[in-house]
Amino acid sequence: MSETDAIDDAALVRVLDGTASPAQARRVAEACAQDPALQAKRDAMSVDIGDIRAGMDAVLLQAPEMTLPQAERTWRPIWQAAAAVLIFAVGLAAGRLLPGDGYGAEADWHQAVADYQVLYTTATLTTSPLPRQMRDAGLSRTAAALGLDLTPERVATSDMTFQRAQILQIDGAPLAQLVYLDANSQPIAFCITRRDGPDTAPVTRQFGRQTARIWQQGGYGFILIGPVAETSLIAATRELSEKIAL
Amino acid sequence: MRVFHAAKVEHATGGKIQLGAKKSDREVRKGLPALMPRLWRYGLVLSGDRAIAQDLAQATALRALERSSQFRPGTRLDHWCFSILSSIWKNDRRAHKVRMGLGQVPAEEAGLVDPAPGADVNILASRVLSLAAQLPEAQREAIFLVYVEGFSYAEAAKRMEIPIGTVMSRLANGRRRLKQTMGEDDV
Repeated sequence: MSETDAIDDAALVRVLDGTASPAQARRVAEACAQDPALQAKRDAMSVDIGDIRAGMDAVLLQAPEMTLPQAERTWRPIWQAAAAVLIFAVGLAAGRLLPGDGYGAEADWHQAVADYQVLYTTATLTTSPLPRQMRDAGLSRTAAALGLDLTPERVATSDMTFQRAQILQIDGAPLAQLVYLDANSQPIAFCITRRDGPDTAPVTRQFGRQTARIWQQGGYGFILIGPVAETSLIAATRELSEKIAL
Repeated sequence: MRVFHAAKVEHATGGKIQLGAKKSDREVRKGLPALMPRLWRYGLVLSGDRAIAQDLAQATALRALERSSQFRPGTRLDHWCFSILSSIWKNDRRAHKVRMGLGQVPAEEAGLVDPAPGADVNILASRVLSLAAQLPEAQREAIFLVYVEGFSYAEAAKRMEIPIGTVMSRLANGRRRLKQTMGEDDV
């Protein structure tokens, strides 16, 4: 049996996937260089998996609204959080979020965001990272819904990496959710919605393990929230409030 | 055609899902809502039908809540739920003796593309679903689990209850079919 004969489909797949050992990858490369038929076989399996992944990310954004079954009262607090996720993440991923369930008052929209944010983990954002094109397109749609000039440059911060933006809805009004990972890969959400009222300086509120910086500016309410210490949010709050000055 | 009936599950539990305060319950309840779009997508890849995919995701959520005590805290909730969804899909298909699959039908004709006008993402989605439609279900599932959901070969083998060698074979054949189809599209 020749060297080429020993290289099977599995070995070629591993090389193309980048999961082959260095020795195996080298052996396949050398064999392909000597055997045009094997090289053609490898080339016939060479597809850009990134394109497939990006397309499937787009499919994810088309997911319909879905509800979970009604639960016993014993788990209602968690169910409310779960409902928040369904309302926000599932529905609005496709831009069709349902109205919230009574989060109307000023304090309650902050609580609604906190309820939602508590369910985010690092894996939520790293499992299916969006390609830049889709990420920027989401930001553009979100900006249009809010009537704000949100560009990748304006939402960028020094210590957090912008991941994605989507349009949510609360009591019939659009709510922008911009999601970041901080330097420690903690998920941070920056949410904006139209709110009447005078401008206010940022203040800190605690929602369980979630720390939030909250302020009002130019007819919009802002909240920056994540499972981090207050000091971790102060610089980002300053950057964002200055860049998005209205 | 909707195959999965959430109401049956709800009826079986008296219309309520009984849950305790165990850690496994909490993890399932906490993680499940964010998983729903991915469950729907997996259902769509398997069934090729948006409505069936939605029913599959809903039925999976119900079963996961019912059986949350069986979930081992700290393990992959997404993998556990994918396993449930696949089981529901295969059992239901077996029961109905229905041969589902996308065959050679373009994604648009199969009702796979969101009819809402618009965004570039719909074009991306349409293209990848059309490509997926060209693959036999076994190859489609292997490609999806490994390359989209990030399963290792071993995890995919466990999920699909097949040897790793068969996973590799399906990936190789799937890659060949995709390459061929993408080449035809370019022409």
